Amino acid sequence: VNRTDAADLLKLIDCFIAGPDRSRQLADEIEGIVIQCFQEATWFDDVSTALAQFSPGGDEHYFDEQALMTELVPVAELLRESLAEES
Amino acid sequence: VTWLAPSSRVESVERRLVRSVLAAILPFVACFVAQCPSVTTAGAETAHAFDALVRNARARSVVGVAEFDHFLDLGGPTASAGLERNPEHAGVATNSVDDASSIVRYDPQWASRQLAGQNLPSSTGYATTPGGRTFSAHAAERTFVGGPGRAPVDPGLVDDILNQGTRVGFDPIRDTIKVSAPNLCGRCYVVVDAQTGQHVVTVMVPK
Repeated sequence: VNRTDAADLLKLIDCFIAGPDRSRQLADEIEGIVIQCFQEATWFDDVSTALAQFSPGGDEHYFDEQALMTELVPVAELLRESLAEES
Repeated sequence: VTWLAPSSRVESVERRLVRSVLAAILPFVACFVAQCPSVTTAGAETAHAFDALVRNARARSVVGVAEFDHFLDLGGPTASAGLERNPEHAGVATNSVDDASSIVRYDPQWASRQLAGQNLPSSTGYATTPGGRTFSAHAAERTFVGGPGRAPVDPGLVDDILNQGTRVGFDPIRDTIKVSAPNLCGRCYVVVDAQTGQHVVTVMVPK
């Protein structure tokens, strides 16, 4: 995985987790990087599904902000560890 | 603005003078409030323009430009998706005092059809795939407009993924089924509601 891509993704995920911006637009930016650069990651299926099914406020069949954060927090930790090991 | 309306048949010279001066400067005040580049209305239209611009400025400060634009018929491909048009305002920007009559409840079926280009006269329900499955508005956007940074998807591929997919997963919390088709398009998948299996919740096809 490209270090720059990982750093960019971590930055966006941290932004989402920290709030207050938990918009669909931010989730779309995260999804764009995940789909483009992380298809081989072990967490790709779960996280890309959560992002593809994200709808602010949630709905019958969709992930809300809290549910998406539940998926994103472990990814942020993995990315942080990965970046720390490389540096 | 209410104060400017004539309240008696005879107006004093002073009052008419004040009216004239205010009528002249009001567009510029309104322009300053709304931060718009220019206003060309004058005379009787001034109060109208002022009301519209102030309401516009207030709306921007309260709900943000993007959200406010959803209340207006701006004619964009997706900006007004899901909003039933007032026939009297069809094709006309409604940044006027009549905006209130143009605000309607969000209709996901209408949005779905609009995004899919299936909003024909007297059409009802959600947009459909060639195979007859229905698209949620979310899925329609991701299919017909494209996912983030990705090109639109052929709606026929949605049917293909569901018909020929080789991996299936159930999400009990959201009551959905995810069908993946690595044999067709790599990491692509379609999520449908578990109750019918015919309503597409979301679509993901990497470019």
